[in-house]
Amino acid sequence: MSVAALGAAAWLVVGQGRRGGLEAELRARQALADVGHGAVGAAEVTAEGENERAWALERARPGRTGQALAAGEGGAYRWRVVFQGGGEVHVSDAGLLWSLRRPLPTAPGPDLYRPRSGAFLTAALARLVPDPESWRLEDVQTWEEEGCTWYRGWFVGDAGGLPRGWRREAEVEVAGSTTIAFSRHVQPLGIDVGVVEGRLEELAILRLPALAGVGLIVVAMLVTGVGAVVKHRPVAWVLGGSWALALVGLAAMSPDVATRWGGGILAIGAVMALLPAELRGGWIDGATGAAAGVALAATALGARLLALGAGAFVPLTPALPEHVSAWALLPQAWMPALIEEPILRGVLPAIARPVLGWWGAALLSVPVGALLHPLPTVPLAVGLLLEGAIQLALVVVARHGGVAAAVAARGVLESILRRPAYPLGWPWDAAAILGVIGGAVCLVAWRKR
Amino acid sequence: MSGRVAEAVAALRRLGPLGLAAALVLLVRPMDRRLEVARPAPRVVSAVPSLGDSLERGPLRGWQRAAEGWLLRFQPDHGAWLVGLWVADAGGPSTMRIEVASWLPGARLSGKAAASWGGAGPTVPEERLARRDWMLGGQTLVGALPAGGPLPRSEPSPLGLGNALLAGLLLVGALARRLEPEPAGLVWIGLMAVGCVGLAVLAPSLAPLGGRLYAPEVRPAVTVLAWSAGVVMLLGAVLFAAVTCQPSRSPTSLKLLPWGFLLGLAVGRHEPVVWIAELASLPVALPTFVALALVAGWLAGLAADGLGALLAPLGRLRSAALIACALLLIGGGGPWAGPGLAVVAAAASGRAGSSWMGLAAVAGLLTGSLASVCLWPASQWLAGAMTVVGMAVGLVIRLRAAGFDRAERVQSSG
Repeated sequence: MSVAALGAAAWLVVGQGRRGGLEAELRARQALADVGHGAVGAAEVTAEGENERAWALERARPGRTGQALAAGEGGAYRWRVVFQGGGEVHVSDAGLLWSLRRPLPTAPGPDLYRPRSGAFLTAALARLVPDPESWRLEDVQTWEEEGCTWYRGWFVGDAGGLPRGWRREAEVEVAGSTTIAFSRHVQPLGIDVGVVEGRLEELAILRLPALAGVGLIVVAMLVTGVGAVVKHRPVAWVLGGSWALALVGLAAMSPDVATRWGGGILAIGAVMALLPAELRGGWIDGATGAAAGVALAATALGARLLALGAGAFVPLTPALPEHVSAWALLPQAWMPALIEEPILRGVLPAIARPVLGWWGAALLSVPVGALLHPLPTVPLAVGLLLEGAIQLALVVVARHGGVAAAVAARGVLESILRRPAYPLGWPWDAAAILGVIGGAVCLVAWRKR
Repeated sequence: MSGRVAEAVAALRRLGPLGLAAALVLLVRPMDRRLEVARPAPRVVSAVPSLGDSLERGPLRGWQRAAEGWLLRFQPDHGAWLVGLWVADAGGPSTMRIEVASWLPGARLSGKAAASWGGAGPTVPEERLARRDWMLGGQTLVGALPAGGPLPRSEPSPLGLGNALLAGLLLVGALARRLEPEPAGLVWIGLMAVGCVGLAVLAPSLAPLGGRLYAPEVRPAVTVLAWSAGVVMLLGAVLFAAVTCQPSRSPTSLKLLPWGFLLGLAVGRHEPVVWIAELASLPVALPTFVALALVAGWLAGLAADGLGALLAPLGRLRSAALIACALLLIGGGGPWAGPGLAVVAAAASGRAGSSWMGLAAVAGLLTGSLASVCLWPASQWLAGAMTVVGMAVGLVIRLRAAGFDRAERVQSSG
């Protein structure tokens, strides 16, 4: 089972990820050379992106076509290349030059003859875009600065490969007679981006009651826990402490995650310490849960494609992280697993089973969990249903393997689903299947014993 | 004098102080007239001008009290914009503000339009997703511009410390009931089921109270869903607490309940809870009041048990501490005077009667607040009916309690 899970996880993960990172530096050097600047020194390459624009393109052109547009002419996924010796270039994942800025040379050349500046700017643009015939000069601005005359040309292009109603714009800046900067913009159709932004705002509001629910569950557990301490019931201080330490370690890997979850770490540690032993599960349960996580990930991806095929809009690209470091995937995927699963699959059944029974209590967690991280789909109910189905599956996993299995399944599931938001490369592949590898090692060790 | 007449005279004598106090409470006019509201929020709408044909205002979605007036929120079903309108109680011109989604095409201003806002000087555009901002010297003109003037805000909540204290008392009360459970009955579970399920069923109708949640870009149906989900989640937690932290079964001080109602009535008339006007503007005001009184009364009892547990180490000084708390709340409680006194009165009743006393005081508080704040006829009739029903129930309970006392005395002497 563990070998099959590992194979399936590798099949789901390897080859996924954002492309163009390796070629970005070369492309950037070439673009700077085209405007007469030889890039000097090492280059720092970072990934950038905008979820809203990518998803708006996916909505306008469903499936892989939208994803390709987002990586190309849509410019939703870009690589930012900064050279030590000066010069900054943005290149889209598909290799399209998105923006460029080079240092101002000491002798930028003679000022242009103003009536001819438009033609000069148009010629400069022709060296920077692959389809210059699709662009027309709309306006030219001039001003004096740094002892020379600056010219800014504003170009408007047709939709190109973008969906109907979208518009491309570009700006070229020239100082003296040297091209200094270039940038292109995309103006989406209001409806396309409005639907996506609206859904994101709506999900943010829908998340509020779920967060309130999670807070209430933690408070109830702490009240119950004080009673347990007073009545000298066993408290797993070591487990709680190590859980909190694991969270601190993960938080240290990703600064944005650390600031978001820092306050709750102690409470989660306390919750784990107070959780009844029969609900926790063991190492082997965790290993089985990791395999279940792979199956869940495959099912979730299949369900998204199914919903897409049925005519709904489901974004295929996961939300882009704020920071893309080598191991950033680990905290992004495992922090929700380590924080939410003990609360939803452990604490809620622990406090509510005397009244509702285990299943009744565990099923209460489904709507709460479904409101925490749904996708911005159209209609919105599809996203809630997909997330609800995942939560339901995690309830089943927790029934068989306790909180440990649910945490492992959720961590592996999140790792696989979030993997495509990170660059192509083995470190992220390894991070994505680390949970499955750990599960396989545990299972093999258990068999040998 | 026949036996029946003698009994009636005795009953009247017993009820005399209560009746006198009730008359005093009802006859003394509230001092602060600024809190009075002449019209419910939905009726204000007919008096405000439309926005013309160019912009669909949408239905009234929510309301709240702000700066001696009503702050109304309108939003069309698509949610792309939100219209806020403030109407003063005293009349006069209303203030309007339109907030629009940033992705609307109108949010991309031209250079000339930006310059007309910023005056002379260089204007540098900054392209954002579906929106163009303009740098005007040291200022930024964002693409999505709200139209209209700033709206007055509702009074900033001075309840930070009060909220924290109440939350603490509730937690201590829950701990006290769990660690030292007393024999409990099913009455309160039934009452809380009625209150919580009733409020949960009414949650979509209560959505106008969540007016702050409405935002441009968010469809009002989703806002109502989020509001209802939040209300249901909160009430589910309260109901669960009601099942697991039950109040004591034996109410020992029933005859004090009418006094609790009167206390709440008096406080409500002089330090009313101001959000009562928002609540009374709902079309489902009556069932909401009933369900809210049940839930809030139980919570007051829980907080009172927390207060009682905290004051228990004081021994005989406990009563003095409770009196000091009450005096402190009367002197400087402000908006917390009503809820605070309900908790103190419930704590004075002890574990056995805290929830019943809490219910009586909260019911009185709601009734008194309604009578003194909401001046439109429907609310005044409702407040009058609630006062009569509250006092009648109180009198019946008092007379029955007196009957029980007499029977117990006869039994013990026999």
